[in-house]
Amino acid sequence: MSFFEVLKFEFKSIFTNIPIVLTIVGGVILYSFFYPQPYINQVVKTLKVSVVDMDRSDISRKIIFNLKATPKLNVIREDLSMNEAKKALLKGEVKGIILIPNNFKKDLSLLKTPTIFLGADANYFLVYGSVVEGALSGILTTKATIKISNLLLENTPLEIAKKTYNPYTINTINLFNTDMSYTYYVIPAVFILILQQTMLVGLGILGGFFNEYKKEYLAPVWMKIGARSIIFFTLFFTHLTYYMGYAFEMYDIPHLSSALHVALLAIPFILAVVFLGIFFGGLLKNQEIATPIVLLTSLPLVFSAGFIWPKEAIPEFITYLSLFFPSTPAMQGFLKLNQMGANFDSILLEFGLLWLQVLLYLSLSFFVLQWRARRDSNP
Amino acid sequence: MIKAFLLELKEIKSSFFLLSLLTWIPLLSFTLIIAIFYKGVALNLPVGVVDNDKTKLSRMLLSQINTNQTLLIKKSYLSLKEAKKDLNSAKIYAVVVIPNHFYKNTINKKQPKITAFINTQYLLIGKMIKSALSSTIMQSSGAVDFINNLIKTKEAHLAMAKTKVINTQITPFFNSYLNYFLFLVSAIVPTLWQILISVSIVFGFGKTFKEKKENLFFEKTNIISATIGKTLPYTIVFMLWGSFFIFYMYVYEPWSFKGSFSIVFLAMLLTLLAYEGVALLFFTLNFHTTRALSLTALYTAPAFAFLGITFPVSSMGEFATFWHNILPISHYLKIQIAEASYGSSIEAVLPHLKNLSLFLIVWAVVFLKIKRKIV
Repeated sequence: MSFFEVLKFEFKSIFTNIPIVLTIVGGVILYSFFYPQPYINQVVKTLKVSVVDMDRSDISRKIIFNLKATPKLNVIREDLSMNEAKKALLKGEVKGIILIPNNFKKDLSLLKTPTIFLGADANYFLVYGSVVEGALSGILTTKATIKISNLLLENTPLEIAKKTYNPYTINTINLFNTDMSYTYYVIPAVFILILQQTMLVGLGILGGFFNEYKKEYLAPVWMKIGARSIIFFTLFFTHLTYYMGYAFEMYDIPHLSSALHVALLAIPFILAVVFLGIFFGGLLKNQEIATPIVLLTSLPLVFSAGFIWPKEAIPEFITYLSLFFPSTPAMQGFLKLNQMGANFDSILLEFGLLWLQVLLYLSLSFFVLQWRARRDSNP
Repeated sequence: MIKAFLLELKEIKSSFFLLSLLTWIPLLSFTLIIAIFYKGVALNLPVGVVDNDKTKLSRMLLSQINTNQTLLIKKSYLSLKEAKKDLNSAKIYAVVVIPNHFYKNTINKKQPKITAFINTQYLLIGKMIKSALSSTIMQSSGAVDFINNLIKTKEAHLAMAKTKVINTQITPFFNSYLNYFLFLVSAIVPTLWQILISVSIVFGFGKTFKEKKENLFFEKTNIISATIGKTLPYTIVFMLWGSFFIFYMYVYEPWSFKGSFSIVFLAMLLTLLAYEGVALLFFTLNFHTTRALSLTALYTAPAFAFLGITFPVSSMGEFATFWHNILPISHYLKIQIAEASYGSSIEAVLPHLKNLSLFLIVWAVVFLKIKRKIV
């Protein structure tokens, strides 16, 4: 067989296999719309809370007023006791409870430092964090007002009073994902994983299919690898430009890097996945096994990549293991380039690692296809 | 039913991959997830500092930051510009800048501002660092305020009252240590579990039909009981895996469980049957394993994002809410959380149980489809 014939045969085998086409064309496009769905509304909406005001003074009302003023919270109930409020929490009617105790105003004037209780459902961390943040900002406003008015009573001029109630403060500035959007956080990394996993499923099914039904397909191994990688590389390079170009635009995801740098990192990423896929497919006895295996690696790969859960907290052997998958350095590299605006020289480690994977999986796919060919020619 | 059950056991034994899907693959994948989150809290996240003041006060502040267990000062930079490179390449997650004349301005009551630049691309990490830094600086500033007040009032408790004014006591209900292990593992492992169930069922039925052994199972017998018998090994194995996980989380590990285990097991069984039904529905569309697996992948793989655990359902759009509802695992997790955390009564979780039972309707379609295929 000539190289051109091999290319034609591979092309035909790929695009007449419905599950492969469903995955590497249909799936890739479908997932670009499907995955961002949960986060499309962007920010967590106002959260319902209950206030238990046992003090019923002008100060407690002032606190409730300040709580109602924070954009994150929506005070929908005022309960008479903690028990009642907790019942509402258990029913899911509210996500948090703020309790102002008896004698709050009295204790405040007696300088007894009364305590405000703040509780929230910690089964859902994002909700919990927003409730606490919202409530604390409401309470802090009240606290500042009281402190300033105390200072004014001591005849401190207002300008100074405003500044002395806190000797120094902190101002935090969000870098890169300034709106703290969930879409920008999850989607750029998950897109990389989708590209890898669909490529692996496609190549896995193809390899398994050849091993099961096309034992007579005996072209030189370098031709098979060459043809298959040309087809997959072209297709997935297009997919990648669609994901990081059009799809990013669609969801307003920032892309700080130049197209050239993205392409430069995309080359070893796609090549590494293609060769890993050819190797993987070469190992499979039939086409059915590919999808389940790839499917089951997705969640461990996402959570060990270090962007959701810090790599400092992940056991080292898992981090090392995850480095054998192209998605790990690719997610880190693309996030740094595109989302954090890093220079290309700060991702040289990821870039180098991907090229190492290219070499590793190219040799492995060579060996496995050679082994298959030898086994199938002398049964 | 028993005949089909025994036959299926033989089928499973003869396929290495099918046997793996029921044994070491669940064990390995559950263990990996458990290991990733085992620490539960993130300690010593690397941050950088730029100290433009270099006084006793600024050094005290930096050592307070380092004492906070979430944070670790990895490097001190001469300027923000110098720190920028390490920030961009995520070597540090934040940089804290102490301004010029920080000490002097504090003494002169000019309320200087410390600025922290935080990498919020890694949202969760960014939030952890933000709250650790804010609370450290507030405490530190409070301590200085206390000393000022002490000089003025000469009485410790008065000074304290003037400093703090109001105490806030924050109680995280149901996960009092705010442990990420409990938060995430209790949802991720069930997500893996539903993938494993669906894949194994498709694989098991696919093998039979591919090898043309379906008559062994379904000929001259009641289709319903034969189908149930054939799925029974999977039901048993995945009930075991599910219960094993629940025991691991709430009995072996010290997480509190307030409700009833029997309700969770009932919900688990319904969920398991729901997934078996849906997987079989995909398979019986055209009795082609690989195509059914593609559909199974689409249905089960993105589930985690739609669960409403990390991102609340109340903030999702219409389509995402719809997708959340057609995944049995969403309803199961509501019951698991209700039982573990709230200790809910059966009446309280009845709506979720009803939702789970609705999925069982697909079995009727499955029986019909198999019947039509056999005859």
